[in-house]
Amino acid sequence: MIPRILIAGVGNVLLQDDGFGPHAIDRLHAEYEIGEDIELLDLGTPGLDFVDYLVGRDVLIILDALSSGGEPGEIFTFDRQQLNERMPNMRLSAHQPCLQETLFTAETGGVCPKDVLLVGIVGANFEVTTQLSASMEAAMPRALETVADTLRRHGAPLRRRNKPLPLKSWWQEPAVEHAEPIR
Amino acid sequence: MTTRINIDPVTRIEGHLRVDVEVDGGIVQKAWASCTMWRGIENILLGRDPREAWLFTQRFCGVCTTVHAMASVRAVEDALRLPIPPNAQFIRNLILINHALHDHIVHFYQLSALDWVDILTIPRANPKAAASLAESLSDWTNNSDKELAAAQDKVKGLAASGQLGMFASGYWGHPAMHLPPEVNLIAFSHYLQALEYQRKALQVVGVLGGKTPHIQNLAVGGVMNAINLDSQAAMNMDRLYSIKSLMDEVIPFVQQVYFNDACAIAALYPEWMTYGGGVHNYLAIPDLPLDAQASAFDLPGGVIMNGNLSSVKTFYTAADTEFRHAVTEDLTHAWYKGDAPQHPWQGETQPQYTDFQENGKYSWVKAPRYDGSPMQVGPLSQILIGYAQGHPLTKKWTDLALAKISAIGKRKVTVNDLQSTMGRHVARAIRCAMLSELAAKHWDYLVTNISRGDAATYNPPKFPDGEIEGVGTHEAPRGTLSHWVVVRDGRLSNYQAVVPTTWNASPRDERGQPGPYEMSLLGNPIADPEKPLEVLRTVHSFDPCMACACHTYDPDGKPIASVKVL
Repeated sequence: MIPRILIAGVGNVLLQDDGFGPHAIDRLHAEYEIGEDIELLDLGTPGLDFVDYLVGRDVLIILDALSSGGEPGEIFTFDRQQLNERMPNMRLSAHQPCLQETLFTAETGGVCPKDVLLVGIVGANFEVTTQLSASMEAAMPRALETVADTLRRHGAPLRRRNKPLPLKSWWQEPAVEHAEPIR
Repeated sequence: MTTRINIDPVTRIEGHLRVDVEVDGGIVQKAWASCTMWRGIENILLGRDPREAWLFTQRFCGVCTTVHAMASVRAVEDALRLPIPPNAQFIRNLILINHALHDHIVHFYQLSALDWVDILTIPRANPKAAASLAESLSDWTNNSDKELAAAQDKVKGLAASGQLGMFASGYWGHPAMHLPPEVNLIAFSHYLQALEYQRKALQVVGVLGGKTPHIQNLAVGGVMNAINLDSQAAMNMDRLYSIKSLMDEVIPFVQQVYFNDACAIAALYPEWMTYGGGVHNYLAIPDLPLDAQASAFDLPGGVIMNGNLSSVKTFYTAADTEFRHAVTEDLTHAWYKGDAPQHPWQGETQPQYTDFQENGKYSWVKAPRYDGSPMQVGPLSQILIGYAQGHPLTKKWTDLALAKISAIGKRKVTVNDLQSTMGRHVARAIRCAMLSELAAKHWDYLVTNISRGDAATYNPPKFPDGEIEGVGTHEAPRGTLSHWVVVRDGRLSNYQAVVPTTWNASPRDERGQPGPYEMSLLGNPIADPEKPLEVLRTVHSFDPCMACACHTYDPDGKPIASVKVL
């Protein structure tokens, strides 16, 4: 069964605040018990293959860094309608990741979730490093609360773990020791 | 009178590809390709464990994750001269093949078909006439008039609602769009079906790789897939057959739909086989190794210079000695410190931004050169090289494509006509058809080898003291990819990725030689400078992937690109 709710973190963990999405997925996994109707996915910087992960979902929550629109650390949300109104006018690189186009392609293919919400934090720096900026770190708990609120509205409340799990972030820790066979 | 057209993405961070062209008499006379985003991302690897480099490199790009992971482990294995077990080769090959099937299908239908297919003519099409046309072109079973009428209703619905979404931004009604409405309808119907079939190919990658988009099963020395035919928890016959049944659905879609559509569109746009060739030097790397030592391959590699197929040179290994020594990157016109060409093992990536200077530095892309020459990479290169070598699988599908295009267009088309904008699309479809055959073949190799009782998938690496160098190559969907590593005392001391789009989007070099995008735009007609559809057609035919790094949503709703006529 495909869980009806997808929480997708998008962004590049190698480019500092651009990695907000994957970082946030890691925190959600560590800090909350995730029910069977929810799937957490770190999708990196997907192109149109984003569409493939939308099949069979009712609710999509996208976690992504914002490049403008406010002060670093400010949180904004956008629903489907608001995203729709910001459709770009031309694609020069055929693989330019573009959220609106992903959603539109999903709609054309009949697989777009009914409810879509983007939760974003305005980034401060996008340098080549795996450490989030201080303003992004500081805003993270409120962003996760926003996600939890949204899930409550969709009848899938999250329960905070008594004791958080360790973060999985392979980009911080040497990953080789953890390598396990794929089954 | 000369008109200058500047096509520029204007987002703050993503900034990808900018193209400037000078047009005189309705024809492009000069062109500059510039990448406006810094790609110094390799620097993050310095000092790290070479065994985990692939985890980082597969985050270079969101579309080409798998290919960067593969080139990375191959580079470290090359430095160690470490063979990998045959099962590991076949599992990797199946991942690479299915990733490429997915990638080529998406590129043709979702990312470039709308440069040629005018959506807004579809409501005028006659679905019955379209169905009989489609049936005359292919045995595909989903071409009924009912299927086509449903696709037509979809377009009518979008048009009526005024919610054309991304279709709202197409250059519809442009004088360079001239397919009959019925052909546009067939292509759009396949656009919808392609969404489903490309997904099945990606599912194969997911089953073998543990997860997509970032596969988990690689290791320097092989793969981490546990093979045990008697265990429910490991790679067993059930799992192998689940992959096979997915591939059995994708293969006919590629051979009966994609291949035929590419041939039909090429036949109906014959003028696009007469320009857009650009740099006629071609480079491809042999790939899909067939044994532990990687001494034989199912995809051909080599070099062709000056478009002369009889001059073809053959690479017999994936990191041919000549290739190792011939590659340099020139920084004269790139925003990096230095101006002399550097070999990737000595390569440096120190930014020096100057603003766009037409005669100075103007791009974040370095200029890769092969023995000092610019090279075109991608499916067209591989097809021409294989054809020139008489590679049987390449010849079979290329001859079939040429015959089909000639028959539909009622005009004889030869292999040399492929050296053009449309030729790149046809070559990609030929390669995809070849790969669809190889998908079944490599599945057989894997199953046969496992059935013999071989379950090995991994040879553990050992790192010597001192310095070693390696190059890992992969003939990726967009062309030759190479990762160059230097390892000192078990840690990475240099890492350079020379990616396909760097070869193709290369700026000029110290001798002033333009790169393939720049050359390919020369001579293209421009019907309307405000709507430079022709420029997009030629650039998209390379399947550009400039988005090698960054993904940030820009809520200000600025358009992704602007067209300025200066």
